Amino acid sequence: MKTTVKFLGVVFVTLSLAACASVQATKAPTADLSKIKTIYVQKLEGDGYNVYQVITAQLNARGFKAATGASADPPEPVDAIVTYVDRWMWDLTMYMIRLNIQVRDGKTRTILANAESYRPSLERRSTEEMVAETLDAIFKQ
Amino acid sequence: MRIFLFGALALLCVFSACATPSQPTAMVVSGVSVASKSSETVSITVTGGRVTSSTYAPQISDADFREALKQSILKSALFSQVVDDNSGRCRLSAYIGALTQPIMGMSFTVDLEVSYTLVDSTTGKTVWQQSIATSSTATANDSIVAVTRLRLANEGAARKNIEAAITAMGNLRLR
Repeated sequence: MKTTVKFLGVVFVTLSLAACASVQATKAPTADLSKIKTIYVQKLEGDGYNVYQVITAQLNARGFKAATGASADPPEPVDAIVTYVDRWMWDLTMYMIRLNIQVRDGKTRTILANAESYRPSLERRSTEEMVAETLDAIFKQ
Repeated sequence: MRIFLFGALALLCVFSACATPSQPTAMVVSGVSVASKSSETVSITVTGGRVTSSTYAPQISDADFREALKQSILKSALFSQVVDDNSGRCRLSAYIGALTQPIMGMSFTVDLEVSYTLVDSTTGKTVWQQSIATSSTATANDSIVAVTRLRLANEGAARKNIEAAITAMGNLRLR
């Protein structure tokens, strides 16, 4: 039993160390994010960590008029729709290993920009910090 | 103890093999039947892709996706020619907006979303614009090595995406 635990420990630590933290963002060639004023954050089905609330709060703090909901369609017309995918891992505690955020056109849902924050166990950050650095990457392009 | 070390090493080899980029040839689609073909030329631009780092997950680069799109268009004969500069009568731009990959598991499903825009370069008008989302799953039967499984899922999603784009453009009744 002890050997098995050691064995799994070695494998897990190595996997955790196998990559460095990174934040990457891209933007569609014709996208103009400076025109965005109103945003609808679409809650990801099964979001058990309330990431949608953190994204909405931080967008509001950045001066956007942001609202959120579980429906794919915003209740009223908006300039942009934000979707996201969060991935979590366990290493003593649960932590977010990867966060992808997409900014979509409010009418066509075409992706205008997207960013990904990746943080393995030893470089883990809070949900708030992961969201902040991902939004920074998108809107500073 | 030796068995322990050997086992750990073997597992590490399986799990932490170097990531290799998605291959253009594996993303090429052949045999797409298009409703109508164009006698015009097309230029292709791809953005939003990423270069694969050996220590991270396999990605799809702009150049590889462009090459796959180019070869697929040529195989389908949708356009008469794909030109490598910006002189095509039509300009097709593809933005790889999202490549969503799992972290771990035996079965990997990758979601790919690409926004396509086709512009008539003489008039500057957008002829077609569509965001296409596709998925592909690779299982342990496809490969026991995780990064290879992920690459195969990437390539499968890209093939489906390119096929859907060519089919959609084929329905435009281009001249």
